Amino acid sequence: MTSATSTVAAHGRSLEAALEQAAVADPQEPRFVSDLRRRGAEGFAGTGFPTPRQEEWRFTNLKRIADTPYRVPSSDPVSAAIDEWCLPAAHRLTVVDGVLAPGLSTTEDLPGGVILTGLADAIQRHPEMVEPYLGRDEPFPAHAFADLNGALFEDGAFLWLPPGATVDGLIQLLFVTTSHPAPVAVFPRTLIVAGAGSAAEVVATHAGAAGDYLSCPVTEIAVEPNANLRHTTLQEEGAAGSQVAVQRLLLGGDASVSAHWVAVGAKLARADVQAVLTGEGADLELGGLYMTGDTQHVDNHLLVRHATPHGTSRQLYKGVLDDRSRAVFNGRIVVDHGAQKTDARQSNRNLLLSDRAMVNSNPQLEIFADDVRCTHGSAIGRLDEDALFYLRSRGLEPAAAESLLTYAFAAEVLERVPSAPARRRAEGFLRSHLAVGSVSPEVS
Amino acid sequence: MSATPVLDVKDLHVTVGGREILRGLDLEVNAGEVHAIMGPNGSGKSTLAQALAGREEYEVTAGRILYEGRDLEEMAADERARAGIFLAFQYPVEIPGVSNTYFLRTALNAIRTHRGEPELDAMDFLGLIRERVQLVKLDEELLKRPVNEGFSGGEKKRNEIFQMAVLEPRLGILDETDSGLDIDALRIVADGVNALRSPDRAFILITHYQRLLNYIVPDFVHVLKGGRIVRSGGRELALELERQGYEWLGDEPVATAEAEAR
Repeated sequence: MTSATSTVAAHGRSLEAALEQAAVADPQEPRFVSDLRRRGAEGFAGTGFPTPRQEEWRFTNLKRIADTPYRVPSSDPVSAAIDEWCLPAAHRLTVVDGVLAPGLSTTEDLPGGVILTGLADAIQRHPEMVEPYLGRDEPFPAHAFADLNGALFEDGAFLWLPPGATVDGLIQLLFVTTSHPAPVAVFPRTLIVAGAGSAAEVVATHAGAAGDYLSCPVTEIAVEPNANLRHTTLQEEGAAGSQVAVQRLLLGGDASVSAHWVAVGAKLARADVQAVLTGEGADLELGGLYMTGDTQHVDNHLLVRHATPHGTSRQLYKGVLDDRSRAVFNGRIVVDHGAQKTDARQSNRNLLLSDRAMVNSNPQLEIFADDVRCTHGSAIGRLDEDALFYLRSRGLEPAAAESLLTYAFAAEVLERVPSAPARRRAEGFLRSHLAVGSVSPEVS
Repeated sequence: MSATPVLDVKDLHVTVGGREILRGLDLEVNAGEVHAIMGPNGSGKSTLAQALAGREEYEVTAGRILYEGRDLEEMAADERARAGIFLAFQYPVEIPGVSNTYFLRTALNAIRTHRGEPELDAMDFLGLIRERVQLVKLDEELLKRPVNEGFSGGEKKRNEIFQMAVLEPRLGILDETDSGLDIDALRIVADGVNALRSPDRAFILITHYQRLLNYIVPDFVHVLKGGRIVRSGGRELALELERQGYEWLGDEPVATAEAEAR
């Protein structure tokens, strides 16, 4: 595989310069893109980086990010060694430092009408497909990093599934940030449109080099009526990197979406998943597994809004925290007036493997309809002493007993990861997180 | 000339959460013997079981426990298990996410490795559990499920005996395995235990009721009261307890013919 280190980064722009430029319309770009950039630049100029004084950022301090003079690399495509992140996928689109890397992508052999290409390419060649879906602020709450990405994205991924299309085999979207002489900030953007009755399985891998960088991916997913999308995010950013990600999902009537988020990387990671069920009978499953150590900080903010009746949603997020790592979970379910017969459930459970690990878990329900079923629960705890003793009383050494119980705790989420290659990869992360990595409880 | 006892407990004092529960317990168990330990609630029966199994909260403050001549104090719970001590829990623990089969294979291989025997592969293990599961008439489907999760009370108890049948301990301690069992389940459990009786294996049956001893006939019966064995005898002692309760016994140990014969 080819490998090259970008040498252009030092010549990239500062964030401030890039934002100034974004506020000015580029005649080369369609109007809807210029508008998105201007709105983003203005929005971010109004708020700046969030601070812990804002409720939504109470437990996640971005001071280190705000103080780092990140450069925005030039948009020249660069290459990278990507083998370690490649899943056995039928189709792969690779984005390096926020820009499509055609040489590292395999997008042939897709069914007729299915489009898998860079977002910049899609904007040029298929603006009529992109415009209705790109940068939809409504019905989502504002987010400073969504603004930042809107202002500064260069490229990213575009997946279009026409009505009724079914893609066999996995589609991997691979986002890699390469090593640079100085910290860079990248803003890849993904737009997935699943037409009515279509079906596909997507894994988005976010990875990066060892040095300090900031990745701010925005993923917009529109799932039209009766479509079925299985989406998994593997967040395996570099150990010194930071990621602030926003994923926005719109579900049409009877649409079925499973969106899982497995997070192991980055020094600081924040992911906001915002989903709105806009059509009746939509079904959403959000699953998450975060495994942290050292001084890692991982913050998951979920918002599921039921805007129409007969929707079902499930949120199951679990964390395994070691050392002095810290996790924040904020899950909000909103049931609009009139969204009767909603069935919404949320569960966040955290396993602390160390006395110094810490979790803030905050479930919220806002229900404006009167005939709904909503449940939420949150737990933070150690391994169960009775279960540990039971295992040890049968001959298992303490480390083996602890690893087995930890594995079993995480397996509940792992088993639900909809793509087998992503599941195996996540399982590998889990094993490397355990004292005894060979455990495999194999519950059928 | 006698062989080393499987278990030799002398003047055992055990404290739990700052409270002394066992206050000078003596007990000797030899290979091939079945000892029943009876006693009223709160007498220390389960404390003895937990202390033998090595639960850390049960602190030995005086006396000693020798297992095959080794001081148990120096062995952690998992070492004791690998050395052949098995506790059938009064309240078996549910472990979501871990299949019964995997759990048991891991345990068996830990024990086999300790004994210097090769690990069993999946096929050999399957053959073994298919055979042993017959002993307690446990539905094979349950073995694929997470440990004890969704099991009825009776199924949990039978699963304990099944585990014992697979792990083949030298000393089996049954902590109120009979409680909560209907008569059919009690028979199945007793048949399972009886099938495991052998000249080189010993059992301690901890029970509140005489009923179990109709099915598993003990060699010795001991009455535990106030943290000490206050009376020892043969099977007839259990029948007497059934008739008279525990009140007629004082709190002080009384030497009996059997105890003195030792």
